[in-house]
Amino acid sequence: MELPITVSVLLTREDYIHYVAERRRQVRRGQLPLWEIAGSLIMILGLAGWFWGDRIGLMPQAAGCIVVCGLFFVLYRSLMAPVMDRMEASTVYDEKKELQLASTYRFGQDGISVQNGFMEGLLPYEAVTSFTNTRELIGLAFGREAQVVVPKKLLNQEQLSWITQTVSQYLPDHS
Amino acid sequence: MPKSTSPKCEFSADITLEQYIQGCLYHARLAGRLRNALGMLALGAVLLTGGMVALLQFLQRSYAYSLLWLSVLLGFLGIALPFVYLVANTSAVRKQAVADFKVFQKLMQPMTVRFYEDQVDTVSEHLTLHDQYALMARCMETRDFFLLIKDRDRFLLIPKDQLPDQKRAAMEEFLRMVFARRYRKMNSLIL
Repeated sequence: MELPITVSVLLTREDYIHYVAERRRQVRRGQLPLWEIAGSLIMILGLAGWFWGDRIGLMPQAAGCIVVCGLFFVLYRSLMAPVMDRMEASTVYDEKKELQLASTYRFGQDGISVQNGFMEGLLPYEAVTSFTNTRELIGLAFGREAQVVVPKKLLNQEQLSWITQTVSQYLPDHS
Repeated sequence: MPKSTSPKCEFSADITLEQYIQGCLYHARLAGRLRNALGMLALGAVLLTGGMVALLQFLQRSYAYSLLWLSVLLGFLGIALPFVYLVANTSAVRKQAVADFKVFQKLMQPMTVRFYEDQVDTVSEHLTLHDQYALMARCMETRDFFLLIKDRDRFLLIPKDQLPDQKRAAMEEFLRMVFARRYRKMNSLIL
């Protein structure tokens, strides 16, 4: 494997939106389903109110509202959150000027050399906090300091395997 | 990016964990997950008022129990929504800040900050960052530090006590002037 692996990347809006949505989806997958549990409880209460609400002066319409509220909680993470993630990613792409500039990344033995109009230097693999590997791109986050997103079409299979293996060795347990 | 002019001010900055957490909280308040804090408090006040009105209606009219349930629901939401929003988000920002500080220490500490007329350079062992004032989102000042907000994720924290003594007043005035309408002074996390 010849090092460094050098790629020049100009990220498109669609690439970035896909990256953010996929990263958030991975984060959500590791979380407890609190929204769904809360929503289910609210729906059960609403359905109970629908059938027996007259005993406590609860109108069927109000019980229906409670069921709808519960349904919102149940569906939030699976249906609404991804849409909101994509909308937010689109806004962030506009805000972050460095995403709209070409960046040169050199994947070496110790880390990734970065050069663009905003940043230059070496991002050591030990500082990687998360690694996102999707069908179309790979993304590495270094806390809130930097992120490296590379479309897979710029890498061959051997390069991709080397990067994935190398980064995986340094990944913290929680990512 | 080589600069032809010399910096207006150059100093070494050493950010502590507590300062970094404060920076993250203020950043979240202005550009992150706490940015809707005021709106949430206002929503809580509106819901509470609605709950009070419903309770008064219940007491003054025919004791319709739907009004009582409505007042309980609105009162609960009026208190719970802002409370959960503020407590959960503040706690999440603090937790994330502790994790991010480790990366910040690896990548950016110790760092030298150089203020030029049109941009600020941050130089550490690993990275050199160039940030033009014109492309930064906001500048926020508290009693202890300046926070230059680059975007939704990144910021540059300038502790006032680490500015060179002889240039401190001039630099503070310079930052207030450069950011003009994007400048904001905050006395607390809410206002």
